[in-house]
Amino acid sequence: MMGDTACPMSGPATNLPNIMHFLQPVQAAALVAFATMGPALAAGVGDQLDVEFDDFTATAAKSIEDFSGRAILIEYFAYW
Amino acid sequence: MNELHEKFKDKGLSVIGVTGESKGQTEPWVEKHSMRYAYAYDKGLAGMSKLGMSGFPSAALIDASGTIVWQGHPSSLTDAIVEQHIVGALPTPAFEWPKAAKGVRKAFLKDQLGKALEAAAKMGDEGEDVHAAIQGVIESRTAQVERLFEEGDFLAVEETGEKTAKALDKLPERTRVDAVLEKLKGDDEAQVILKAQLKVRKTVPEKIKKKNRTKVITALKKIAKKHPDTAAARDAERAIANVRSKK
Repeated sequence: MMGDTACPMSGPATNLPNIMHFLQPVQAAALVAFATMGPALAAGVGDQLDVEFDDFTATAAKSIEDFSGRAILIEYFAYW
Repeated sequence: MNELHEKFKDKGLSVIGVTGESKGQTEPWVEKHSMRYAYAYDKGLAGMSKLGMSGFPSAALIDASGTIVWQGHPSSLTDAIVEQHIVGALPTPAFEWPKAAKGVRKAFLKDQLGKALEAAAKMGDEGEDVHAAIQGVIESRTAQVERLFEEGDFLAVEETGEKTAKALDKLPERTRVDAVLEKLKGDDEAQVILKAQLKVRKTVPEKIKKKNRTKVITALKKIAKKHPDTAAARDAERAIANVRSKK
């Protein structure tokens, strides 16, 4: 286990050998498999919306399903 | 976005701002920018990745049937695009319906349109708007199945059609949807394209290993070439672009 050591996962990709040092063989194998696997293919125009969001604010809605029957415009924003 | 929200909120559009930041970072920003529409959190930006978006701001428009109909930079979204896709959407979100519409809302969210319409009718005058809204949804979903057939997207016809038929249950509009589904079954050319569309879907795994990308793209190109100017070719080309866009 890593104990109080700073999380190696937060380092850049070039730290991979260092990360391996911290991991058990099974964990290391899983990490290698993950690294060679591409991300899931993204949804696009024509696909059904399949996302979940949390903590809806400024609305009585609690989940995205509550907007069923409405057209929805999702805008990703960042405060910076 | 505030403008779009004000302009279309009573015509079927809900604008939802989404962020991957913390509440502490977001709330002062929302207040400073006088954001007047709903917002929510996407921790780890998993949803953003699922939607294939990168960079801020990014936006996606989803129609009333839950289909993604547009993606891009918010500044490139025109009123005309919104107007095109809000047809048949509920003018008021179901969670804002009157308390007396609880039964209608329950049936509606379970996609039981017949039951929802029946419950709205029982509300009398108070349920008039809700009844009209559900009737609008019924018409637009029925028309959507018919339009998909005309556009030649037979996989969408099969999937949307079956879901819509179930939702309509014993409503008279069901016969229109059943007629389209029957037409699809009896149309040999449509069946060939439908099978090719299913093949496209099968060819692209949910996750794809880097070493297999070329193989997948080659298989998709083959499908597109075999079925030019069809929904199968469109699906294959879109899948190729999607596979290529992954780093």
